[in-house]
Amino acid sequence: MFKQILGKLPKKTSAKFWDNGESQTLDNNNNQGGGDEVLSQRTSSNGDTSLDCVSSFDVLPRLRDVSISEKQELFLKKLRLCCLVFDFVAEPQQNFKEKEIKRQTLLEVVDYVISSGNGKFPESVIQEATKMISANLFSNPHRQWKNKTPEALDLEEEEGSLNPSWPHLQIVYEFLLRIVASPNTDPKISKKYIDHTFVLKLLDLFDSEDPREREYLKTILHRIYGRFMVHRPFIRKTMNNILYDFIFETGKHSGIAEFLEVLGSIINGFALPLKEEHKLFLTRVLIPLHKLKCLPNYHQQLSYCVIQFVEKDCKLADTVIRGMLKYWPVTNSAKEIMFLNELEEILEATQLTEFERCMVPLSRQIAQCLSSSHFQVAERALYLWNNDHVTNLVRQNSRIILPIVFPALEKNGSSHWNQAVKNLTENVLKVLSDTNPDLFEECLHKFQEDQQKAEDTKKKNGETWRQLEEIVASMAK
Amino acid sequence: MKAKEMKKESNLARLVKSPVRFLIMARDAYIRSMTSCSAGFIRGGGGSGAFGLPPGNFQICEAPTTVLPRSFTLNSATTTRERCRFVTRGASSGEITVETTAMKRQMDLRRNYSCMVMGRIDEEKVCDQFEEEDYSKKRKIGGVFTTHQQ
Repeated sequence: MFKQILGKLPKKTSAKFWDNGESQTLDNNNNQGGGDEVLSQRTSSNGDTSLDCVSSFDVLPRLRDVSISEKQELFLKKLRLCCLVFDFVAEPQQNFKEKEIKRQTLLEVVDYVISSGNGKFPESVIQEATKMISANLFSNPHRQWKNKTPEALDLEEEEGSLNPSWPHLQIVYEFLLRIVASPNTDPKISKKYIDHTFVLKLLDLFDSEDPREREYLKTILHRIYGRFMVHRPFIRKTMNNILYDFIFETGKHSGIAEFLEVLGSIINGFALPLKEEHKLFLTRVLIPLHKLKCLPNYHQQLSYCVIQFVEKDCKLADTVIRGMLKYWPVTNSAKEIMFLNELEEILEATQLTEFERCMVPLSRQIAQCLSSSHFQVAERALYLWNNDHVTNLVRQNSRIILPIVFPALEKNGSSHWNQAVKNLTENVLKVLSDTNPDLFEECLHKFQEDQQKAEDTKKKNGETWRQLEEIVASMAK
Repeated sequence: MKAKEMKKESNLARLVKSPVRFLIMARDAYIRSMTSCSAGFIRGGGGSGAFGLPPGNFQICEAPTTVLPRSFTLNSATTTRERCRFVTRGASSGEITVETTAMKRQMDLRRNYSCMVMGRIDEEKVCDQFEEEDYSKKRKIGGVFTTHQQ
């Protein structure tokens, strides 16, 4: 695919060179004018570009046209040329020609990284590459766009704002990804330039509102974490800090879902037995992430991370379930349904011992969900009985669980407003009755007795109120 | 005289009762519309078109982004899971077929509730090989080349 795109390059590039030659031969004033434009652009931008780059902006030959010995030097020159950052926000209509030249130069350097043979990249290449990447990704025009975003943006909006610098940024991200993932990149050399400062700035970019940018950042972070073992503790610590800030301070961040996707692959690879640091991450970061209002934006990734933990160490099921019960939503039905979905997946990975430790508060919560007026919540809670593993756990502890959930089921079966919930409830009651008829009858009798007691208490209270009224009436006389 | 009085009273009673009747009709219509959201599978026994309706309990949840297993390490028997256990005993064969199909469809949807999974990173090893084929397929650059002439 990339080769096909590059196949279009030679034609246009040669045409451009021909145009440049023609303009140079015809009119010297035009050439000087172009130089002035580039100079003024350089003044407005904050790039650390030298004057040599500007003067040689139009005349660099293609990498394919030079010999192998000259290739690397030309590659370095092209990298320096790409350090010049164009402002797509404040000046979107200026420097069209220069922008296109830079874009094609970026494509050339990406292709060079992809197509280079077995030789390792020397340190000078990594140094210039990192400098170019930093100039483009961590530059001020990038932040200007971010600051201009309106504050009232809806957090749950899936579509974010698109970065106007994307025509150049995409290729820079692709270049960074190729450099990090290339077998010709030596980690021992690269870690001096892709250092903690670089990684920290890269992680700050995750708050971008452009989903295309976050997608690239996610993949790049995944590769850096995988490849540079020396950076792993720092990356985990920095991600923790960003997540703490999100959970306890701002509640606003665009890239939480992407962070959790990377973390999902990291958690997947955790060694057994789990380190204490990782368990703390679960209890202090992943579980509190359930309480935020914008949970729908990242719940799939979050539940995947949590379930990975429970599958690696089944003893954590009790901790996770109690944490979820602590943050269980009360009025947000959409969140409640997500919680029930995640709960079923956690229960599938839960063993009997861990289930018994938390089943009493869990059953009370399930009973509340069964009694919910929101039919989707009640319906989803009823479907827990459709899961074989959950049903097995419940059956082995039915003597404790059934008395808790039975009143809710019986009320649903007789008086819930939604017909589907009624039907499902009757089915669940039949299953429970077939499984343990004696206990079922016992619960039914107790339920009826409790109802009778409630009615008697109600009557007694009515009588007491009536007596009080008579006394008051007689005293008035 | 009596006939006129009776007729008059009947009209008056009907006028007095009509608001109550309208409210009852509105309530029934509302409940019918809410029920139709979720009961498409269970009550629509006759028509096969009812199965195309999305289940009510997933209207709020986001649609699953990709078809992937919920977990790679948990092994559970799919045949057992797919068997519908809510079929009522003694029901007619038509009803059994209907409910079985409905429940299976819903279970399939719920089983796909998962997210995109990136390559696994072993905690104690350098990982620098991540599905190169998928990697090259997914990446796209540039799109249409546009040259602006000034």
